[in-house]
Amino acid sequence: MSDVTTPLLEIRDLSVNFAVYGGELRVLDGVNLRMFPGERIGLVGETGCGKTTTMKAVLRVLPMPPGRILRGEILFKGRDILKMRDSDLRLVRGQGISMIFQDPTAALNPVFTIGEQMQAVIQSNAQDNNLSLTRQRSWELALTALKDVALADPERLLKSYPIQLSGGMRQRVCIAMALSTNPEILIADEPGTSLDVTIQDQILRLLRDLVESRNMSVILITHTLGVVRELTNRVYVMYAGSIVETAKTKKIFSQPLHPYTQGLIATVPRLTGGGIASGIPGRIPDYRNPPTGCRFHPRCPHVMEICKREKPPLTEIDQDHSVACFLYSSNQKVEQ
Amino acid sequence: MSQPILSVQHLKKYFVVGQTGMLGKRQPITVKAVDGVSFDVFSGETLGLVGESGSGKSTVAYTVVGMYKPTAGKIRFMNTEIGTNDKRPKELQKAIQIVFQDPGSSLNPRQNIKQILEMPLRVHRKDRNRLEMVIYLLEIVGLPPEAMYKYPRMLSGGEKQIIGIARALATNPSLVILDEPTSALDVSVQAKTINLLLELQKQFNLSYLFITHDLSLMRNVASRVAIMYLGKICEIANTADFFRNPLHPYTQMLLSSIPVVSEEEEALRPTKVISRGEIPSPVNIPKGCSFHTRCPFVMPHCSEVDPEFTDMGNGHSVRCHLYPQGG
Ligand SMILES: Nc1ncnc2c1ncn2[C@@H]1O[C@H](COP(=O)(O)OP(=O)(O)OP(=O)(O)O)[C@@H](O)[C@H]1O
Ligand SMILES: Nc1ncnc2c1ncn2[C@@H]1O[C@H](COP(=O)(O)OP(=O)(O)O)[C@@H](O)[C@H]1O
Ligand code: SF4
Ligand code: SF4
Ligand SMILES: [Mg+2]
Ligand SMILES: [Mg+2]
Repeated sequence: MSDVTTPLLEIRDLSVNFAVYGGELRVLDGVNLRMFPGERIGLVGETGCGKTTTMKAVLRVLPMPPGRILRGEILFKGRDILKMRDSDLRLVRGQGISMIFQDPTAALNPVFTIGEQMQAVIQSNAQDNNLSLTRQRSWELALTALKDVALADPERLLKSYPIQLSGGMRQRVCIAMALSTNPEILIADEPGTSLDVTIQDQILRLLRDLVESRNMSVILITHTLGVVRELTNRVYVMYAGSIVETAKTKKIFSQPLHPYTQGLIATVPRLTGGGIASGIPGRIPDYRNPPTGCRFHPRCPHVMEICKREKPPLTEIDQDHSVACFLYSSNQKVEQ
Repeated sequence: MSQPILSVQHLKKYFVVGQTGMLGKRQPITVKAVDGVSFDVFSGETLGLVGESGSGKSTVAYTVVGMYKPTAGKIRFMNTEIGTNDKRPKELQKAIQIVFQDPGSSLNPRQNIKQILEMPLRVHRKDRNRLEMVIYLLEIVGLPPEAMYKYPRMLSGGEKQIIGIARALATNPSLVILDEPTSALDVSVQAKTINLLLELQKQFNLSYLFITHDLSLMRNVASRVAIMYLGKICEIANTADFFRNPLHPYTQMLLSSIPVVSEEEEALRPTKVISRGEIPSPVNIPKGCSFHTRCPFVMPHCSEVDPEFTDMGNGHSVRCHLYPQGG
């Protein structure tokens, strides 16, 4: 049952640690995210802020150990993925949620042909649904999937090995594989950002067309803010294991509120010139010993006493616009 | 304009990567990584060299610093021909330095920062107190003296790149080649690194050959921009002219592909050239204009005749049949 008022996916207070030699990395510190049907979400933040970890938890592919989920819930259509039986989980991974990984080379197995890999995905998804497919049928489905991502000569491609394809073609194959099971949610981790800009542009346009024509919901992970602006309608900004701000994409770019979001947007080099802002001082904290209170406080130009003691909750301060920062929590709203 | 500090003319660098054909009739397979490239870098300026992967940017860089011997062409540095030197004199090695693309792998993991920075000093600066110099180098790139006892693995990507910059400055160079110095870094770290580079340029009157695939970045750092595609330059212009009036179809395709963060930038992007096609393999470069396989304006003779440069005035040159010479 999905209507616009029930979230399709909801992450509540997700907290994850990793055990390392001599201690524990306290990486995810209460992640909250809600996705409604048809939404295209951009998840942004610097390297190491926890984007991939969050999505791996959603798909239950986090390595455990060293990973450990301290608390939290991940609700897919109201059911907690973290508590699902394996058979239900397989169905979620098949038709519920698919993921395109950042590195298309690593996602494909070099010793099998594209056709063998695509057929395997299609077959196992059919099995999860108690269906049986002939080899001929799964071959046809693979062929259709390759045509859908505008790859020329799909018959020949199915017989090729990954190494025979360019980076852009591999990325298209990965998209075709992820979409071959018709998922409701597509998670794309830096799709195409390892590719050249004219190839990346083609991949992103393809992705946008597919998503729109199938009315899929998308979570796009990237640190290229321009890509987020062009492909998504809602943005979640993550810093050091927490969501620090979320709003409609337009609003994030026109009226960023969190000091971290403001710094992130200011440092993007502009095609219009004008130099480059000096950037946010410092760097992502050491997760063995993260800062108390607001994890951003050692880097924040507006830090106050309370910031060092207490963690600011993610609070809705305007319609559809939430921010986790004490500058906005009390009645004295500070102007930027 | 002032004298060029570096003048590269008709530079070619080919690599033999294998053989084809039957026994007895073997033909070498050649990659024409750089295939007739000419440009100048003027004193104190930043020339931006922009292109997608495999276009030959790094090969240009490595040939100019003397790591590769050119297959053909001339490299003049401060009015002296340097391309043909088998072993470059120390003076020359000092004067031209490079910062590499990958900050991690260009630093020796077994040496600490002090040892890494002392190396060029040992070779090139026997006169000065080395420890003092190391501290001075760390200071000009904004790192505390204690940083010298750290090893590369203890540094973040941004800090490693800053050490790469300090090492390049150790010999007091006049020309620094920056090969995608920030492409492995987050935007906020990139911003810091770029601002440091711009400050150092002013302070020491450095000339930069700045290689990148990021045109938005180029807009903010370069005085002039050259665009490369498959081993050749297709357009070169002053930065302001270049962004106001991009002429080459490939340049227009690049510009229209850039994801931007504001409406003002959107207005700057050409909309008529939609990106399409794959970058051809450099082993098999298309005949005539090498861009003809992807060009929306392709004409019959484009696949036969490689265009020459046309001077459009004010230092803006373009290599495309849409702009005939004398036309
Ligand atoms: N030492 C070498 N031997 C053989 N081929 C080489 C060598 N160096 C470069 N090439 C080839 O020359 C072409 C241009 O390479 P180069 O690294 O200069 O391009 P680039 O534009 O800097 O690429 P990228 O942005 O990916 O680093 C490529 O096809 C590359 O494989
Ligand atoms: N398997 C693991 N073992 C230990 N640390 C990990 C593991 N996976 C991720 N981390 C740590 O978690 C933090 C966030 O990682 P990640 O989710 O990959 O961030 P992002 O995708 O935003 O770059 C990093 O500090 C990373 O080193
Ligand atoms: S809570 Fe305090 S330290 Fe954190 S972002 Fe807001 S002002 Fe800065
Ligand atoms: S020469 Fe012809 S194919 Fe090449 S860029 Fe110009 S119009 Fe296009
Ligand atoms: Mg990641
Ligand atoms: Mg390179």
